[in-house]
Amino acid sequence: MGKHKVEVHTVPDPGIINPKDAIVRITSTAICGSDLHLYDGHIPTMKEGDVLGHESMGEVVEVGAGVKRVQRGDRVVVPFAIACGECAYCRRGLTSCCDNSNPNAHLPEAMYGAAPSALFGYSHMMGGYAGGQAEYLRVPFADVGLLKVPDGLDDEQVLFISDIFPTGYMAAENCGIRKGDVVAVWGCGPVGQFAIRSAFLLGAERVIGIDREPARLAMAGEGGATTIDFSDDDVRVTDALKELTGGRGPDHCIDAVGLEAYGDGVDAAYDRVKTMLFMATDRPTALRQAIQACAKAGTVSIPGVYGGVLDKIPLGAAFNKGLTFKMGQTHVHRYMDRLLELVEQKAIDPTFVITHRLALEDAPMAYELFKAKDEACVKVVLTP
Amino acid sequence: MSHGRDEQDQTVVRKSITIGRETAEVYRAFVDGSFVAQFAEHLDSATEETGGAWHWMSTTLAGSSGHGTAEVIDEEPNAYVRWRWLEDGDERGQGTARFRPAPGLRGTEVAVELEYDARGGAPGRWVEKLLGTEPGQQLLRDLFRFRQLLETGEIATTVGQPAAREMTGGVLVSAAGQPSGRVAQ
Repeated sequence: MGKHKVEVHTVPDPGIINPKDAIVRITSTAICGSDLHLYDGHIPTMKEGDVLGHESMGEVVEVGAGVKRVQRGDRVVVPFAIACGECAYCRRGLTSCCDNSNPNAHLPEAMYGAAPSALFGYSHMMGGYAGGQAEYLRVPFADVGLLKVPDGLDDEQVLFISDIFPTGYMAAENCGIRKGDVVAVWGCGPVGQFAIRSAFLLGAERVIGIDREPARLAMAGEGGATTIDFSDDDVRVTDALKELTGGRGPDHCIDAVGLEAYGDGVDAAYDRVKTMLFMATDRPTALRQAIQACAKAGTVSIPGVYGGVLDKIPLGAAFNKGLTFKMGQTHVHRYMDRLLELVEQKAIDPTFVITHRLALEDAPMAYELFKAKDEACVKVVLTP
Repeated sequence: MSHGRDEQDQTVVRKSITIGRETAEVYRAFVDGSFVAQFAEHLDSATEETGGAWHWMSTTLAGSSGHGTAEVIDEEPNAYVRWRWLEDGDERGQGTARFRPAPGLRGTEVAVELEYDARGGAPGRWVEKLLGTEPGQQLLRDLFRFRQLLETGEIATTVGQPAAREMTGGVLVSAAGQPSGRVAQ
């Protein structure tokens, strides 16, 4: 409803608008680190009254006339990005680049040169779709989007396939890990936690987690990572990484921190955006460190959300060491079947990341808790 | 000058888009006024007149009704079409669209150009009423909607979805239950 102002309201239930829509009754939903950018007022084109949330799952209660694959009663997980399944990008499995899901595509086109897919609950520039921190959610292109959940798995075991699990997994896959490689992960929030575990699944021999929150460092350790705690002023992350890697630096560096983008000078969603001013927090430090620390011929993999322009990125270091950069919003649809299989095979139990379970009604308090990282908060699941 | 065009005073907006369909299908859809009325935001409906021109009705972005005629003045099927807009017989602007196969298996590249006199006379005011103050942006929106309709059969929209504010426009086609949904906003 405004900066640092999340409220729970009663609104009309969503209905079928387009033939390929489905309506899902939400049984579990979560707050994402990127929701905090909305909460802090850093993402432009939000309107008072917008419904938030992009990590949701539940039961299909209604389907439009054009829906063939899912039906009422199916238990489903909803990917955070909306994909049509028909465009050139969707056909390549690059669903977060969908051409057709964003009714306001002209806005990101103006800012970025081309428009990515729409996202649930993440500003009008990204489509303006009502999100899933709610009792019901309208899901466009339901046949493409919805992942059916087999019996025998709890909500908590599969909910994170909506976003943070594939986000961490894709970040690790983007590294091109060869058996025996060493991976460093900046940011041990939920995405970083999944990146750590995914890196091991993909063949890394050692994974190093970098953070300053004790609970997050401990959780990373439980996932097998060696940790670097940079809250200690005596610790220089790049030096520590050299020591931990025999002077080589990590073969692959994952930036799971991202950058909070500040909007300045944008008055309305329908102005043509020519420039966007962003004030950097100290988080670009993570990306700079990653570039500086990365071993020669290594990869810098960026799942952390970036929105604008950065200053002083050491491209000279990147060039001269022959680094590869891979990044982007997660192509959830590409990974969800594989990740469901990993959960079914018990190769990973995603519930490890949950620290708090609250009711949807407690959302205002939950946002504050998550933002402040109080009570060792890492991940909050809400139940409507 | 209602019937002439001074090249130097024309405002031109140009946008391109690639659509994953065969060129013949894309061309056919583009010159079909009734199909155009489905995706063009500023058009409500279009009916074909004898002689092949399309008469259309519009509730413009500004909310006041308008109408006009689109008349093809030159074409090469599956490659090129030029049309002009008429309001009660007076020309208000022209447009061209070029179509060619996109590289590889990407489908068809469409390049659209709109030309009108924006100097402040009747033509400019009419176009602005029709396309808003940013015709280039509106053209791009319409081309996105054209692609959505051809590739997915739908136009992406959020009109009619819930929010904790006055909802203007849009109708809920059906409701999932009693209006008691709780949401976090």
